[in-house]
Amino acid sequence: MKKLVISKENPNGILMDLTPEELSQRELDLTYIEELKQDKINKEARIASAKAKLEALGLTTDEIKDTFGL
Amino acid sequence: MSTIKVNNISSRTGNAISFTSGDTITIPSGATLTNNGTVNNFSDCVLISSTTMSGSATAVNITSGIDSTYTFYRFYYINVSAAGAGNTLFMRISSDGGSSFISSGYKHTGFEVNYTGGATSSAVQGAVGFVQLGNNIPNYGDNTTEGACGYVEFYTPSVSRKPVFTGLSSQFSDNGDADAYYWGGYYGTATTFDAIQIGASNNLYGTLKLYGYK
Repeated sequence: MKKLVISKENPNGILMDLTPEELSQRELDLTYIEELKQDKINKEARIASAKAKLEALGLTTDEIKDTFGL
Repeated sequence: MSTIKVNNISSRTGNAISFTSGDTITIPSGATLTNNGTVNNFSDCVLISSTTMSGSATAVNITSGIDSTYTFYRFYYINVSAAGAGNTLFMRISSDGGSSFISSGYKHTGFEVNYTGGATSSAVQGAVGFVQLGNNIPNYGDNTTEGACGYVEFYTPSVSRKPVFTGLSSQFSDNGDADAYYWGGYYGTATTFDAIQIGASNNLYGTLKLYGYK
C-alpha cells in the first residue's frame, strides 16, 4: 500500500509505503467505512418498511411522497 | 521621453526587471503577456498544487502551501474514481505537517440525493472519523472517464479554532445513478492545521487541485 506525498520539495508528489501505523489506521478506516455503509443500508430498510406500512393503510405513492418525503 | 528598443533583456542577477513604487506597467491593446512560470500575488485566487492520481496510492497527503497566506482554501477533486466498487472518499487534517492525520473527533453531516432517472431518494450522512467527500464513488474499472467531482472549502487554517469545512460533490454512482451530496461540518477541538489527506478504500484516480483565496 502506498501514499502520495505532496511537498514543497516534491510538488508532483513522491510515492511512499504506508507505515505500520498507517496500515493499522487503514484497517480501522475500512471497518469504519463499512459501518457507515451498513448504517445507511439499515436506515433505507427502515424507510422502505415505513413506506410499505403506509401503503398498507391505503395511502398512494404520491401521497406518501408529498406528505412524508418517502 | 526617449525610447530604447532591444530584442531581449537578460538578467545579470536574480531580478530581470525591477520597478520602484509608483511605476506603472501598461499592456496595450493587441499585446500579449504570456506566463510560462510562476506568478505570485497577481490574483486573489492562486493555484497552490495540482496532483494527478494514477491508481498507485490509497491516500494523497498535501503537506505544503496551507498556512496563513490565504484566508480560505478551496480544494477541488476532479473526475475522481477508485479501484473496486463502493469506495468512500474522505479528507483529514494534520497539525504536524503531515506526520500524522487526525482520525477522530470530526462532526460531519451531509445530505445526499440520488436520482435513478425515474425515482429519487435521499439520505442524511454523518461521520466522526473524517470529512466525508463522497461515498460509493465511481469504480475506475467500470469507466475510466467518469468520476466524482466536487470541492472542499476550509478557512484560516493557521488560526487555532475548531476548523469548519463546507463542500459539495456530484457523481455517477457505481450503478449509473446521479448522486448530489451537500455537506458541512467541523473538527471538534480548536487547532491549527497545515496539511490535508485525501483517502479512499482503494487506490485513487483523478485530479486534485488546491487553491488559496485572499
